[in-house]
Amino acid sequence: MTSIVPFQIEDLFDINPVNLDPLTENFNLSFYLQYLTDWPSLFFKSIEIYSDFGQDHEISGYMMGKTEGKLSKKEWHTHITAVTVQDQYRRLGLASDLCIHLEKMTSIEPYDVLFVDLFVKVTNTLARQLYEKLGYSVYRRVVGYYGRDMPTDRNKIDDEIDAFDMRKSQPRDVNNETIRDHGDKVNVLPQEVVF
Amino acid sequence: MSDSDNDILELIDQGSYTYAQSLIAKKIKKFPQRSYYYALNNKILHKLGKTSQALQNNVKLMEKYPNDPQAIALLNEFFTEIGMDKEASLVYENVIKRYPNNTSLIIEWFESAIDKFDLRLYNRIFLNLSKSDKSSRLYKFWYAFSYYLLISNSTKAGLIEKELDLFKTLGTRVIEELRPFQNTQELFVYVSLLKAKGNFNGIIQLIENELSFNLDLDLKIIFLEALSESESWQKLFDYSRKLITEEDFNDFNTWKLLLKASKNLGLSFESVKSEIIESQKITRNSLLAVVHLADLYENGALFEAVTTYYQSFNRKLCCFFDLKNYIDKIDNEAFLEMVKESTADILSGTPSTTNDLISLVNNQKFVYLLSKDNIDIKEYISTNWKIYNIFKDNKNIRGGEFDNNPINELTLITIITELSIDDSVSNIIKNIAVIEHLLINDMYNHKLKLWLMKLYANINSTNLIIFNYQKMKIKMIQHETLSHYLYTVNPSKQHLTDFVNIYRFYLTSNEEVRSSVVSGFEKGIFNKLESFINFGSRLADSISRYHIILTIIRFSFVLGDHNYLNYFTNQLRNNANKILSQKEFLDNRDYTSEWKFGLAGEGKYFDQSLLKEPHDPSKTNDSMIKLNILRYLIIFEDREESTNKYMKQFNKIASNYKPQLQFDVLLLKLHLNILKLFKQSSNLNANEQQSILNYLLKNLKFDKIKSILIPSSLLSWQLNHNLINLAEFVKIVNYLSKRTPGNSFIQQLKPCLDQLVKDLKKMNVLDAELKELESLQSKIQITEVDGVKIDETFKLLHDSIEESTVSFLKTL
Repeated sequence: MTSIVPFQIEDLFDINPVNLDPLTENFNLSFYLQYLTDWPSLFFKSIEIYSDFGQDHEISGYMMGKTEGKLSKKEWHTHITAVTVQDQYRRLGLASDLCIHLEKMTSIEPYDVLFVDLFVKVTNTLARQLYEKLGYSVYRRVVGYYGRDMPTDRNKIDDEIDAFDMRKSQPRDVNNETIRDHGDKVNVLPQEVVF
Repeated sequence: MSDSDNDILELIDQGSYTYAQSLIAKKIKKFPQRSYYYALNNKILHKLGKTSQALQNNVKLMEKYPNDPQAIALLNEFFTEIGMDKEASLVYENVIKRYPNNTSLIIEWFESAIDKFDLRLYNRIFLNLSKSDKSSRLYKFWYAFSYYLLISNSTKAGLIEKELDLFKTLGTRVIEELRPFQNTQELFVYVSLLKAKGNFNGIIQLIENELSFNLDLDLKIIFLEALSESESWQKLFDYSRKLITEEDFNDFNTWKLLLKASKNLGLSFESVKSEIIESQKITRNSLLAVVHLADLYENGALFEAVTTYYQSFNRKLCCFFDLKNYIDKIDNEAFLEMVKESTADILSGTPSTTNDLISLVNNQKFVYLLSKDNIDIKEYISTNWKIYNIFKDNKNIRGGEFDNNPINELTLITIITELSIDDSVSNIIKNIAVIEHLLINDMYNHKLKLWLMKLYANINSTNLIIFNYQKMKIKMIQHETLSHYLYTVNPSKQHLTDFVNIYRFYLTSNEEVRSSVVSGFEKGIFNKLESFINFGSRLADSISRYHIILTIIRFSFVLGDHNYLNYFTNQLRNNANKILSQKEFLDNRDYTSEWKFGLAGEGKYFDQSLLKEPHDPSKTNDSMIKLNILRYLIIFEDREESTNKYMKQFNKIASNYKPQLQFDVLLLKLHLNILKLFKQSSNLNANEQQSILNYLLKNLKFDKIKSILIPSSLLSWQLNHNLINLAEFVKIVNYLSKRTPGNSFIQQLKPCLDQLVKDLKKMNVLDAELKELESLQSKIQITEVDGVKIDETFKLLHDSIEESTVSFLKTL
């Protein structure tokens, strides 16, 4: 019984069951506040009906997204910054629902983006499969994206610290110019993926 | 501001008041008309403790209506700091009356007022702002939005009914002329005000007829609500159906509204079920929509719908949580029968899949929920362990590396149930060993870790709490909600540093929120601002924030490490008026995550008071925080006027406060008397002084206090709790003695305290604790879980108890 509603900054007081997950990042306040200020519609949560502790709902997951890039360079897009689901509500397609909602919302005005993209760790096969099911494909491999040091050699690949930049083109990209085949063979450095 | 002005400010910041005053005197001679220098001088007087004089001067200065923004800012700051909020606003209002078009000054007023989170004040400022720049569309929205904020927070803002009605009208009137609205945020302000008025038809007309842009999620939800509240069933049916079928909006709230509309349009149960729901892809929401439909139509189909959902989704952990919402409405006996059959069926085969396991976990939860106190608890526990043992070595039951193992959902339920039956120290230790063992293969399971910290907090192994807290990588806002797990952590140099590091989150949080509120208003993101403001308010005055400050001060005293003492006592001193004038501290502590099994409060085996004592929120409450703040304020206060005021407040709160433990009751009295003796001796006659001294001498004897100082089990958290507080008391007396060397009572008190410490050390508490621990080792048997290394747990506890106790006892 999942519903999708806007995220509010006070939700940070209630998201421990989601954010105590080891892979979910706890950002500083400014980061959440910036997303809520700059992209208020692209930060939303999934909630469940829940009656314990006098609550009426519980947060089961959330999506943080943003839009960026220049249209003239064919880079105007939605970026999925974080999508996470609480342990009890996994394997239900909730993350997919959150992605679909973001995609639907930003494929029309006032956003009308060319594509949606996200980064996924090369070793995170489950996540990659989830996104592939949703129509995303690898656009490029970002070498050393999750590493501590800034890499300089784009041919020095390392599955543990490399990310796939995955994309899904949107109706505005009529000719599918923002995606490509065999993107996993195209290596770039983190500093080359700044918009 | 000139360089020399900056120099003066720097001198004030450094505490070089005399030199700063001499420079200000020169400035005043040179610029006798500049109010700023007078205000600056008064700031120094206030810093020097001459607050009455500074107040007198500043009131006179304010009456001259200074219009120098720097002087106004200083006056505002002064009045705010001493709790005179009305005057703080007046310094701006007076000038704005004379210069109503001074927009920049009004903006400065707003920026200075943000972290007061006073919605009435915001409203007054925005009224002035909208008048000052009539061409600004944005300022009109700010003003209208402030009415919405007041209405939406009417209790907090203290609105009377008349105001409530008036504000609803005023709010819409301010922006009425600005129609058509240009974006979703503008529309949000207007429809929120219409919603407050109950004008749902107005919302529908506006959205249907005047829109030139797409609705965002907030507006879609408001529109759906308006259609429902106005009983526009056909429109609700059409719109909700469109969202679900055409826009892939898989949203249960929308499903519920679609079903509600269907019923009100007279559609039959069967047609809704087959033509609307089942024509969609089968999802969790669509199956639950059938359940909800049956509940709505009350046609006896609920059990079947619940069963259908159960059969499809019992292999998912959400199943229990979802169906719990309907469990009271179905035939429990029949459902329980089905659940038991399912369990028997799975167990009769060779269960090995994740689906098998999760079904069993859900089934056992249903069994407990539907039986509660009537459950055969021995059999229940035995079945749970049987399930655990079937799956304990199965490596194929987890989805991903970082997913929790579902078996431990059930294992923790079993552990909690067992602890409910027996919460003795030995059972706590046994379960510590079990959880430590379970964490080897389920290392990211946060519920296991929360319970582990909870168990460590109940015995004197308190340095292991912070070790696990850090392992969980708790950071940022999580400190606000979870730092209560650290309440019993023992003072040590490292832990003092750890708490200071935790406090760093609060160093920047006020400014982060403040600047985001400004930015939110500037960008007009009205659908987030209410929460920004409430968040700021909840964080600024939170129990956790002050508890961390108090812990740092307590540790500093106990350890005799005064590096941070000034900084943190100044946090209290500089905000004393504000802190003490507030009715309550806000409580954002998370006491629920550890109980999220869906069974909390369900019968005696899932009572949330289990092992709650060390973190009890009803004890660590407003009164406790205020009493401790006052205690430290009095210790560090040299001004008689302020000391007397604080003592009066301390007495008042103490008389209504019920401390947690018996020793806390005594300690409160001891603190009260010691503060009277050291800080108010001039108010007491010789007899009163002697009487207080006699009380202290009588009660600071080890034999007298031993029975309440030392709990029956030496391993209980209460032991270190009492000893740490006693150590702090001794250190505070020493500190006060040094600050008031001429105090004649010291000569009588000191030998008494020395003897107390000597007697305490003679008792050799640590050895006694370790002996008690040792005596338990042979009594604990773990038969349910193979491979638990109980000897290692005892070794861990031995070292931890030793370290946790020695860390502060050695400072005495």
